[in-house]
Amino acid sequence: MMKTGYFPGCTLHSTAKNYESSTREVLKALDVQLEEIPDWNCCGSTPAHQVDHLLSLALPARNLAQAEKAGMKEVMAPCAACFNHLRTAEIECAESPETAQKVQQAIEMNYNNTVHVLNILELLVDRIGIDKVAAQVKKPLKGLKIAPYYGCMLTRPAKITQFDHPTNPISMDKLLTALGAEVVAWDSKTDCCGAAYVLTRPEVVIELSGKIVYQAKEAGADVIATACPMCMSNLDLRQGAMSKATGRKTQVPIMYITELIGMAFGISNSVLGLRKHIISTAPVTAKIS
Amino acid sequence: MKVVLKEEHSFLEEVEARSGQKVKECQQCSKCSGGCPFSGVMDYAPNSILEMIVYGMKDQVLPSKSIQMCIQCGTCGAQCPSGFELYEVMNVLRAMAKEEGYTSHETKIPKMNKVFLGEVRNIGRMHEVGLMVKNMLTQGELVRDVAALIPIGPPMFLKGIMSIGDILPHKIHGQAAVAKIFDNVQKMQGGKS
Repeated sequence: MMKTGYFPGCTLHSTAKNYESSTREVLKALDVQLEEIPDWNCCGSTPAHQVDHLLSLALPARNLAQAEKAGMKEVMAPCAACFNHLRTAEIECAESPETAQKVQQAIEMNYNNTVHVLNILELLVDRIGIDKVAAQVKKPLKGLKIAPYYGCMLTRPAKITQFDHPTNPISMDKLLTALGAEVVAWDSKTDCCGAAYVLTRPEVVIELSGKIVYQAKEAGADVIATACPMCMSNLDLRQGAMSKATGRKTQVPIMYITELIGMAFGISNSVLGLRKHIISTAPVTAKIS
Repeated sequence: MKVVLKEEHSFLEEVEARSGQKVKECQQCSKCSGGCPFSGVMDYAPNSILEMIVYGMKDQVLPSKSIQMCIQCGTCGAQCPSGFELYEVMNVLRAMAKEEGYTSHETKIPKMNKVFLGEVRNIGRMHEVGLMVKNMLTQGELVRDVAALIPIGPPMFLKGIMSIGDILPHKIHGQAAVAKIFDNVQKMQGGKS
């Protein structure tokens, strides 16, 4: 049994409940126990980063300090944006004692930089291992063509994320291949979906997210795999608006990486939460028996 | 003719010193602007911002929309042949604009940021329904925003993406500690948070 600290983040408790349920189910099957950070707070996301740099470090740092107090050595954040902001606080405090001191003054807590932040792919690929994941596959995703979509928050800035590659990563590709799926080659792997600008400049986000969806469709993908609730929201909820803007009808299912793994593990659709998508995942589940 | 560039140089020097990025080494290849997802809606493309810093155009750069739009996706840095991280420059420019009291030409994003952080301060977490509703009321595009919500709102409830329990916010125990972080940061930054 492996234990790891866990930071769900705000969306996994609201519009990304299926990311939370599928993450929990998949990790349970892999014998990983998740220990949630006590009374965690919002990481501050892009608004804190844009408004005040110290605030953007202090908000995540309170979570890391809470994790330290609970004796955690590692914390996994499934949301790509939460991961990015928690990891930024970890790295900037480690690099500069002056920053670490300021952050502690702001949060009025001790923070000793002893907690390492992980994303879901690092946990699955580097800590657990692709072989162990592959060993749990009961229903291989044979015949399923998947476009692995990493987006920006998992991959960049490289100094912070230390992901396998800032523009052409392959860890999710390898994981999906191990599930028996076929990974399509496409150009939008690490493009930005426009994120929270959907609330301020929806037309730009519909164009950016549309490019990603149409690219995947042209590459022959049955489904796009993501590890980010913000990307999920833009790509899944806005396909009607994309069709309207371009005049080209689109219906590409978007699924969390953990939903796809859960499917391959033979976990039931309802437990994973596969219904919780605007674009139906039925064409995807129908391909796997 | 005598040209005095003292003040202009100090802008460039300050940006370079605070961001750790050698702005004057920019080759103006424009790869950053080609890759930037938002350069189309910026008033000055990212490579222009760099050139403007070199020329000391502080009064044009600091109130610009561009510096408020950077989302730190890092696409520019991953493509830069000089290997520098433009987002670090943008972070410094935003901080300088705030410190020196510049009013931004960009109004939509700061409004959303204020609503978002207000939720975090009052609840300890971001409340999605609260953010959506309050943001719609502040953006001044109510007709457009409600129209966009009609085709996705009801299906979100029908499909269980949202449920009744999500309508009201749930305060965390440490909400006061989170609000204190906002106060402390504001004090530490000289009241300009």
